[in-house]
Amino acid sequence: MMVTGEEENLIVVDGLAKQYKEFTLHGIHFHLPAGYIMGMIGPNGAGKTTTIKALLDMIRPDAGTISLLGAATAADRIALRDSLGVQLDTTLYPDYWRVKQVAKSLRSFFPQWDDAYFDQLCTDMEIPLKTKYKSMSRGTQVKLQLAAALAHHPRLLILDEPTAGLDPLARDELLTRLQDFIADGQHSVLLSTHLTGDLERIADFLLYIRGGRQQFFGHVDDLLGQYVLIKGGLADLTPALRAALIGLRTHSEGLSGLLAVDQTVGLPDTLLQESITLEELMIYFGRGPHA
Amino acid sequence: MRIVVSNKAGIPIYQQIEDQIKTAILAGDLVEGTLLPSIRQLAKDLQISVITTTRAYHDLEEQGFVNNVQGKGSYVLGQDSALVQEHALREIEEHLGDALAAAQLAKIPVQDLHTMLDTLIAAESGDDGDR
Amino acid sequence: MRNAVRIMRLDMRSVNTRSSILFIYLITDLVTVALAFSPMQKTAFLVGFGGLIGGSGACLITPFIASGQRGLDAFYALLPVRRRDVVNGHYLFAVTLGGLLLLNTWLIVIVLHWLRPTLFSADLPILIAFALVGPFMLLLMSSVQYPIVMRIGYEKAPYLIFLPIVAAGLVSGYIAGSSTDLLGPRGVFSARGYPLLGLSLAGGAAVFLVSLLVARRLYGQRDL
Repeated sequence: MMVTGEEENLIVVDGLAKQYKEFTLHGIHFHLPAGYIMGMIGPNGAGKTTTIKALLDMIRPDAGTISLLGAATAADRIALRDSLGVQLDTTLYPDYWRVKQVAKSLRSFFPQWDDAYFDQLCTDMEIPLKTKYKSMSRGTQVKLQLAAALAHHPRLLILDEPTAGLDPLARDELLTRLQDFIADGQHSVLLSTHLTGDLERIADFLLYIRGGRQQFFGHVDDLLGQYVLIKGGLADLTPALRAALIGLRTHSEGLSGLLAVDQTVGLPDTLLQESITLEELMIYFGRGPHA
Repeated sequence: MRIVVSNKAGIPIYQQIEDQIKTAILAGDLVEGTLLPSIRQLAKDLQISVITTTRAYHDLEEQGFVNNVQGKGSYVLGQDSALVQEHALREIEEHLGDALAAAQLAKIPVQDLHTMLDTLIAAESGDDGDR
Repeated sequence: MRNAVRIMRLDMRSVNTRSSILFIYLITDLVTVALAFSPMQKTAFLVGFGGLIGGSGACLITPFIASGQRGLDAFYALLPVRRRDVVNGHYLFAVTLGGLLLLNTWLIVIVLHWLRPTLFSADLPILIAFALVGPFMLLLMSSVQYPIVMRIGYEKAPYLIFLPIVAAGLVSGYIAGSSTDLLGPRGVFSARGYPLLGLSLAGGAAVFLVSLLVARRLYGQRDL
C-alpha cells in the first residue's frame, strides 16, 4: 500500500514450509519493513510458533528462504542474535533462577546488554526479584522474558504470545512499549497472539495462518475490509447465499455469517451488514465455509 | 488539535482521523502552515498503527488539505473558498440523501420534506433575527 | 571455545549444580572419613568413592532437566552461539565435573592418609592413580547419555538416560565381585592394574571424542 520498496526489510520469508508427522506448514510468505509492528494470528496449532521457530533457526524448514536482518543463512542469523530480542511461549530459564541469575547469564553473551535498562524494565513491569522462575506466575515469566529480550537493545523483537498471561493493564503497557520501540522507524516487532483486540489497533501488518496455511498477509484494515458480517432472518437464506456465507450460524430466530464484500451486491435490505473485527473473522473462519 | 478515535463507531480509524482533521481545517481551527504531529507521534498518541495514520495523512494530502514534506512533516494547506464550498456541498448532499432514505422507509411524501426544510430555514433565520 | 566455556558455565549454574555438587562432595567426604574410623577401614574409601561417582553422575544430567523437567535448548537457542558450541559446552561440563570429582577424590585420599597413616600405607600411590576411575566413569556415562539426550530430549526418554548409570553400577559390581581383595596385591586396584587403567583411560577418551562428534551432528539437525 503506502509501504514502498525503498524501506529496509528486517524480515523476509518466502515459501516457508515444514512437514511434521501430523501437521504441515506451507506457503508462508511475508515481509516486515523497519519501523512497523506485525501481528501473527491464527487458532491454536495453526503454525504460528513453527513459523517463529523457523525464523530463529530452532527448526530447519523443508523449503523456503528466510532473511532476518539481512542475514540469509543460519550461521549469519546466529551471529546477528545480539540485534534480536525474543520471547518464547515456553518456560525458558532454569527453575531455580531468579532475576539476578538471568542478568548475570545473559550479560556475557550480549555485548549490548544494559544492566541499568534491565533493572528499569524489571521495576516498571513489577517483576519480583526474590521469586524463583518456576514459582512465578505465567504472566511474570513472560514479563521476565520480555525484559531480557529488550535489555540488549535489539533492533527486531520476535514475541510469541506475549500478552497471553498478562492482565489488561500490563497488556496495555506492553503495547505502548512496543509502539515506543518502533517509534524511530528503525525497529520492528513481530508478535503472535490470539488476543486479536491487541492487534487490531497497533499492528501495521497482519499474517493470518490457519491449519498450516497462510490465509492473508497485509494491512489489518485491508483484511477486515474484505468481509462483512451478515445478520438476518432465515427467510433470506437462499441456497446461493448459504453457499457463499463463511461460518454460517443459524438459530430459530435468524442467521449470521461472513460474506466477501464483492458478493454483497443485490442482497435484500432485510439483511443487516456490519463491519467485522479480527475476532469475528477468526471465529467465523474457524467454523469453516459450510458449518 | 483534538482527535478522538472510537472503536465502536463502525467507521475505519483512518477515516475518523481524516474527518476530524478536515473538520478542524475547514472550521479554521487549523490554519494554513500549521505543522501536524508526525505520523509516528500521532500513531503512538492514539495507540493506533503507523500504517493507519499514514493512510489518513496520505488521503488528506490527496484531497488537498495537507502537504506531506518528506523528512519535515505535514503542513496544513490554505483552503480556497471553492474547495471549502465543494466539501460543504458534498456533505450536505450526503445528509439530504440520508433524510430522503428515511422518508422513503416511512413512506413520507416528498412534499412533506420540502415543507420541513422550509420550516427549518424559517426557524433558523428567525433565531438569527432575535439575536 | 570461548562460547563453549560460557555454555559450560551456564550448565554449571543451571540448577545450582555448583552448590549441589559441593554439597554432595562435602557429605560424602564426611561420611567416608567417619567410616574410615569404623571397622570398615579401607573399604570405607571404596564406599565413598562409589558415592562420589553416583552423585557426580546424577549432576551430569541436570542441564537437561533444568527448566520445567526440560532442557535449556530453547534458552540456548536464543543466544548468539552456534549449536556446536552448545554441544561443546555440555561436553566441557562433563569434563569439568570429572575434574572436580578427581580433585575431591584426591582430597579424601590425602585427608584419610593424614588422619590414619596406617590405613593405606604403601597403597597410597595406587589410590592416587585409581582416582582416575571416577572421571573415567563420568566420561563413559556422558558419552552414552549426551548424544541420546541431545537428540531426543530428556522428557521423551527419561529412563533411557539412566541406562548408563545402571551400566556403571553393573560394571562396578562386576569389578568388585571379580576380586576378593580389591586393594590387595592381587586386586584390580593394585599395581597390577596400571596397564589396564591406562588402556581404559585411552579407550574412554576415544569413546568420549566419538560421542562428542556424534552429538554435534545429531544436535545440529535437531528440531528444538
